Amino acid sequence: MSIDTILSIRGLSVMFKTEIGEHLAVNNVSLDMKRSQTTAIVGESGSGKSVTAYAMMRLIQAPGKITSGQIICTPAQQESFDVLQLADNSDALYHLRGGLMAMIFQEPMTALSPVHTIGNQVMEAILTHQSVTKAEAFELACAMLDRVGIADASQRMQQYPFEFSGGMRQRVMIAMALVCKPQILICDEPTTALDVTIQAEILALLKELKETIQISLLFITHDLAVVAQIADQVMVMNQGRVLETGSVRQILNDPIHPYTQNLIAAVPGMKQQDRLRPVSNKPDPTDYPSYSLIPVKGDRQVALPVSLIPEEYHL
Amino acid sequence: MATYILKRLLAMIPTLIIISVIVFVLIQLPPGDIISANLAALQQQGMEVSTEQIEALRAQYNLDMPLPLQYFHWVFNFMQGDMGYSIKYEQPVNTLIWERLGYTVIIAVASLLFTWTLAIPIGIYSAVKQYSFGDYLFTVIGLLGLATPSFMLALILMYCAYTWFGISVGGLFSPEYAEAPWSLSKTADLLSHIWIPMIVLGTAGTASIMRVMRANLLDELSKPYVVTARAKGVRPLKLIFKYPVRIAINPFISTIGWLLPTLISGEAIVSIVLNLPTTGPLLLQALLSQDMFLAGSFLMLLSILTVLGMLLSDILLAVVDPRIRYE
Ligand SMILES: Nc1ncnc2c1ncn2[C@@H]1O[C@H](COP(=O)(O)OP(=O)(O)O)[C@@H](O)[C@H]1O
Ligand SMILES: [Mg+2]
Repeated sequence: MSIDTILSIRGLSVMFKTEIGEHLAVNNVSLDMKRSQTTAIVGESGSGKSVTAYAMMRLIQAPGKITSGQIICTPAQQESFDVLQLADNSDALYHLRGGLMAMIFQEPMTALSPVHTIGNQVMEAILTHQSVTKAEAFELACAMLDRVGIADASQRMQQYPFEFSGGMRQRVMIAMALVCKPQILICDEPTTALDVTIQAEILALLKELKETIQISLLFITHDLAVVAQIADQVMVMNQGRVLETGSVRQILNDPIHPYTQNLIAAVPGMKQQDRLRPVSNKPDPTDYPSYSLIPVKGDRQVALPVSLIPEEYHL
Repeated sequence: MATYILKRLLAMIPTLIIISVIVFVLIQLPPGDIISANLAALQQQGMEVSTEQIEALRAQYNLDMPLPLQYFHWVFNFMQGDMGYSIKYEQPVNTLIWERLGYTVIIAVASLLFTWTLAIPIGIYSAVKQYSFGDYLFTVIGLLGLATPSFMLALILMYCAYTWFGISVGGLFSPEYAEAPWSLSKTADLLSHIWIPMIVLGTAGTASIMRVMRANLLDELSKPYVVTARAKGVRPLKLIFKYPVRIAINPFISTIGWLLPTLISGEAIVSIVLNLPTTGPLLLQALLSQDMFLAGSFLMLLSILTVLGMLLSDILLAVVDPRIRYE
């Protein structure tokens, strides 16, 4: 783990106990997030991306349980600590949620309480983490809403979520997440539920914010076009496992794992393929058996047996 | 909001006119009237009643008028606050109803508070600790409560109070206070009697409200806005009460209005068992004995309370849910 790693997940496993048995939603996942960069987790739906993100903020609830692993967090000018070792009701854990890490979600329509004003919900984030007066919190919230592109912020603070469009609500979510100046922002498919033009606006806003405030982004998506626009590092997930990691250029231009190759080939216009190809039609665990991650050339990793990794990548 | 309320109040007028016609027709429908019923009783006792006397009685209660005229007479008096004369009790309906209505409201409010203070916290606990031992325990107790008829519970409680504490708990007052003017000790006497009807009537609603609260809250607990608030670092206790409980409780607040009519009609059987001076038994008597003014006034009051209650519910709904307020 190099010094500019802000967050390092090691061997994380999360299990869900269901009626049909125990299910490892996240299986021995490791991931390094570089400070002030954007790390993307890519994978089809159900591959365990959200569960990984929730685990980072200790938001997994019954019937889920983190069964093993470490999540080493190294905030700027602070000692490293293991997120999974924080006591359940410790101040450190509540500081981590919202103070050190923040999260925005896929569904801006339901991620805000329908019966509380926008101002109330944004100010709550401030009042939870900072010792300021309500008036100061109001000013801070206004400034932040203004910063993410909401006009007439002080007026819109008195309004309710249903008076906002989807894109505007996602801006509110971003403002609420950033208002306490967290060092890590987790974006769990933040543009998936929005229509295309709004998607582009939100992406542009996130990119611009990331560059100006030096935040480390964890960007979860199933959309490779979005990955191409925003990511520095990419991790490909499937069935709760990491299949491949590397820089955005390596993954998109030169994928090693057959699953990644399929994924990219399935995107129209991404490669020179003229026909759409299905990704793995039906996720079948036997397709990508549990090989462990092997480091290969160019500071990347792939989960394949050595015999299946082309010679030119061998270290 | 003010114009909305005014509009709704105006819309109530035609509704109430139609209801008043129906009520009037209904109380006229059964064959015979209270005079002929009384007459039959008198004749059985061997009394001679002359035709003139009967006609005089009929005229006294306007029963000799054509029906439409009787109707207008009734409605007109009702609007002026005169609900007519009860032939059975030989008293003005106003005197009969108002005092009983007061006690009914006191008991209803007390039992509602009892229900809510018991059921809502238990519902919250059961949802938050779903499938815990406590959750199962409260579910079993709740279902038992649901399955026990109220009058049965009333009898059991009366029996226990009598055998263990030696107190006779029927009615709302001890005999020495029943007719006494209001005083501090009379109030104390009321309080020492009111707990039985409060528990009996309150228990009846507890189980269902508990279950509904549990289900509502479970729905809300899995909503994305709850995760948002957790991710913000809001502490669990504050979080649960500020967001999901606040929303899960809305249906209860907004249906308070529906309880208005049950203030009068509710729980006649329990009131009879417990010998409570409330309106329920009186309504039952009025209907049984064809006491037309008493029954008609009761039904009319019930209708007015129902219509008002619905308006109240709509207003409360708008108060607790901004999405409705702004439509
Ligand atoms: N609350 C839950 N109960 C049971 N299983 C769950 C729950 N949440 C997630 N899972 C399991 O975890 C898997 C991964 O889910 P998730 O991380 O949400 O996928 P995605 O990659 O689409 O974000 C799902 O396929 C599901 O089986
Ligand atoms: Mg997801």
